[in-house]
Amino acid sequence: MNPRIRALIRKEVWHILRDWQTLLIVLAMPVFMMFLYGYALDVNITDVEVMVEDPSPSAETAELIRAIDESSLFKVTGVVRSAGNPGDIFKKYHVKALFRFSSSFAADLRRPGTPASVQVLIDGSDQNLGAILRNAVEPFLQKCVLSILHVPVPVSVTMHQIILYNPQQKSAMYFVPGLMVIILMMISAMLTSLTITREKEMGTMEQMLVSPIRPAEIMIGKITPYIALAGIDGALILLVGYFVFGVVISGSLLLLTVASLIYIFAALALGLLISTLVAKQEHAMLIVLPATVMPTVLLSGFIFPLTSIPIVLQWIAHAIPATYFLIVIRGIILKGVGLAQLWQPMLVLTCMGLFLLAVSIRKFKVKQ
Amino acid sequence: MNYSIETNDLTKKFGSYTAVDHINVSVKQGEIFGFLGANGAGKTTAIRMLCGLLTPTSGSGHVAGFDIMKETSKIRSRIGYMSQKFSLYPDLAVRENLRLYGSLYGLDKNDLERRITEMSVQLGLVDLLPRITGSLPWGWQQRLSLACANLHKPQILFLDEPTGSVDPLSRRNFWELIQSLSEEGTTIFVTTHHMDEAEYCHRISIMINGKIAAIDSPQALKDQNRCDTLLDAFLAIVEGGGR
Amino acid sequence: MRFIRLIIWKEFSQIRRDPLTIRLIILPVVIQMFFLGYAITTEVKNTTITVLDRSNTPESASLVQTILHNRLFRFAGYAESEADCRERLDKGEARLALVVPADFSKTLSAPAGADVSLMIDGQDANSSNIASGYINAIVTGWSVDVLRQKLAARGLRIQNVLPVEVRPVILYNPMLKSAWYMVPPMAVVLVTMITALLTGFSIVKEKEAGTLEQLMVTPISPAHVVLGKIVPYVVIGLFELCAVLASATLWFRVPFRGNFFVLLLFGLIYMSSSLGIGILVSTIARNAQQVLFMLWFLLIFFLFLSGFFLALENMPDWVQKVTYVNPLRYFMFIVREMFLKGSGFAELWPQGLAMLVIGGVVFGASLLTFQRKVS
Repeated sequence: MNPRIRALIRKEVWHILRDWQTLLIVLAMPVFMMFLYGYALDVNITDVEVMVEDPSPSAETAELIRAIDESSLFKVTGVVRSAGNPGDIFKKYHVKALFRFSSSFAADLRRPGTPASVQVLIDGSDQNLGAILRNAVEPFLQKCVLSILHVPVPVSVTMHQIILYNPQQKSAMYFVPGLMVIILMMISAMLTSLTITREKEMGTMEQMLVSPIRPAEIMIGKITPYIALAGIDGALILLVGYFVFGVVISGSLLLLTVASLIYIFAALALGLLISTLVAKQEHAMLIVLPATVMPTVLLSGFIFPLTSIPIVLQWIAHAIPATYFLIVIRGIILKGVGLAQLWQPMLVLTCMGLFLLAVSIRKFKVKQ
Repeated sequence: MNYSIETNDLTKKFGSYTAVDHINVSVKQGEIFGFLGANGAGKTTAIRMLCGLLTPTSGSGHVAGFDIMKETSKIRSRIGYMSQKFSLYPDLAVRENLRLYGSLYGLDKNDLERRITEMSVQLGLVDLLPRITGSLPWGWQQRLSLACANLHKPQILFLDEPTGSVDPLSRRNFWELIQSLSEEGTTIFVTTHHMDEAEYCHRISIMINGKIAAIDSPQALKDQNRCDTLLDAFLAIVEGGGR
Repeated sequence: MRFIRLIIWKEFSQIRRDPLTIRLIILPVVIQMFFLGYAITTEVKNTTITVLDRSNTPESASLVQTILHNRLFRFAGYAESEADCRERLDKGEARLALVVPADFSKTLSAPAGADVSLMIDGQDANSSNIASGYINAIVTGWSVDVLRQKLAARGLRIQNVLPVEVRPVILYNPMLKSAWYMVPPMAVVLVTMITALLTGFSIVKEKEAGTLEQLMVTPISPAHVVLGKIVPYVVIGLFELCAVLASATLWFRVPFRGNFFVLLLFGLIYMSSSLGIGILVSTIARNAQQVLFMLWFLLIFFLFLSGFFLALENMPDWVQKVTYVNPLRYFMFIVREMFLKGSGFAELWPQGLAMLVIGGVVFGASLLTFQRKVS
């Protein structure tokens, strides 16, 4: 290998090893986030706090209230005779729904042909929860009442779910690939975006430019050590995924490694591009997060499905590396597919990386 | 005669501001050339053009026989540069900085080791090799800077304020080293504020507002301005427009 | 006091000379708001679905058409067999596959009712669940319609069989727009990022340049330096808050039902935490890169446990206990409640108090650490 590039790589490795604080964070962050996702963000919508307004309490309403409370979905935190201004209840008690029985509820229930009426006020602030509640309350209440009346639920069609690729619905199968995409992009872009800017600020970049080393060599020398570092992060994520969360890679590990290295390369090149464009580190810092991490988290398809977002953003999503890597990594880990199905996104990733590197080299002006 | 450094009406403008104004300089191989001037006179801009860091607006220049505008890559391996800002890596050890620059200039393993030993002995850095650069006193960092610039035995050394705030004894040692390098054939192009150091130079030039106001040997300048010390001659030229 | 004013003047001069920083403070805000407002959606739309209709009767066709007519789904063609369904899902051509068995019509009139299957691409558990929930709701609705018709044929009304009438009413966000929920908390994220990052960075830069040392030999005390330094960033932070408020209300048309000045006040209280963290990190870090990494690490931690992405009530108990020391959690709650419910001091004072306490502790600790490190 070119001795100048080798010298530069050696220097970068010295820098990395000497900066143990950053190194520690780089290695600890993925592990930490995995645990965060795996244990803390275990989200089950249960025990949603609700209150009930029951103007004319009766045996039936009491039983219904008990059924609501005993269900896994709801938890009744209070029953009132009159809600007054319902808004106050929501503001004061922070409940998510208020069930309002009509004053003739019990009577209507006993009389066939007259439906007993329940109004459910739902806090729509969290629209996810709001939608779920809105869809859930009617069938739920119907079922409750029917079981109170000991009448079988009339049914016409039952739908059975068959879940592919992740039959146990292990959330780890979902977030491990996603975290790979996000963490690798984050670490890589943050590492390289500051490294060149820092040297510019310190003046050591000038010293390098006076030497025989070419800009292309500088770029390659700077990227290479970080590929290894980010690669270690990727391996860490997979290891924790396997040993702690039981995520097994259905497809080829070799293919996964290759794809990950290509993605890391593209992410590093992106960070490098940012740092060639600015002269001061604080500018690089202000750019890197919204330019790399934000789009990756929001548009890659990891958290928010691509098909749900507006068309313009979908186009942008197709311009970022993360989207393609997510397809590849999910394909390999979850679906177990191979190169035959994944060569297209992998090719796009490679081209993106090379393109970004080329632009960085061009933009990196030796002379002013 | 082949000059080590030669410029022809070299000019650099930044917008409407002319930093370097049609300067003509010729430096012979092995000469110690002092590039003097007040702060802001344009010295650093001129050096950066000669090193290939800045593109001239007009005029021409040749360093080590190569055109500074078109053949900068050929120039780079033949020159050494010590910038005004100390720009070596503070978190690397002394030895590591030396290894880095030696490798960047193409020294292979054996040569590198040999040259590192030679330079550290010459500059008194042997005991400091394992120390972290940033922890060294300023004077020693300057020496390290010179060592790094000279590892590859360049034809020309560009030194921009190399003895900034170093103590007088160290400065004298420094200049003794420069003189021996000059005797070995290295051209030294140096800027300095210290008039006593300027006496060591074969010739000096004085830059005022981007132009070269005087260029001659120290003794000649003193004679022409009827001064005993170079400092007085310098002041006479800068303030009074003397010769 | 005079010293503090001096430092403030110095900081402002430095910032003013750096137009790129100013532009970078504004521009990413705008871009991120835009991104976030539109990208963050838990509404699952345009899910591709393929259908295998083995029954091929008017009833099965009716069910299939009801599903396909729904705007939430995009039809990906009919499948030939179950293997075909599987392949389409493998290739990603469809996320769902509806399989209607051959005996669908017949079993419809049977007491146990008919069965259909839905194959789901389980890669993305979250949206798959939601999508299948939609289908379930549609199927149930269709099924109730069928029931209604059957009963009508027998002269009965549906109310005979379904005894309860449920009327859900959505408050505060009647159209259930995700932007209304996700855009206001962006204020918290941006204010935190900007105030913590810029403050931390500014201090570390002076540490590296040696100018901090220079200041310390003057009569100015470390406390003066810190207090003077944060003032510009408090101003910038408040500006960010207003910027988010403006784009939320003007562009995304999220209603702001609370009191503007109360929001600013809460913002100020919150900043004592974010600034404090920035200062603390800057005393530990050696250079800008370390500041960035440390702050980003902390931010991720706090952000995920703040209720921004996922509601806190749904997390395990022990996690919820941890979030009590997270200042982001309180400010986020305040912002959301103020926007959508118009809550004010009366309702939100507990959160305000929590932020005050946390902020006081963090800021006080950071000040002490700074003084100790500098002397």
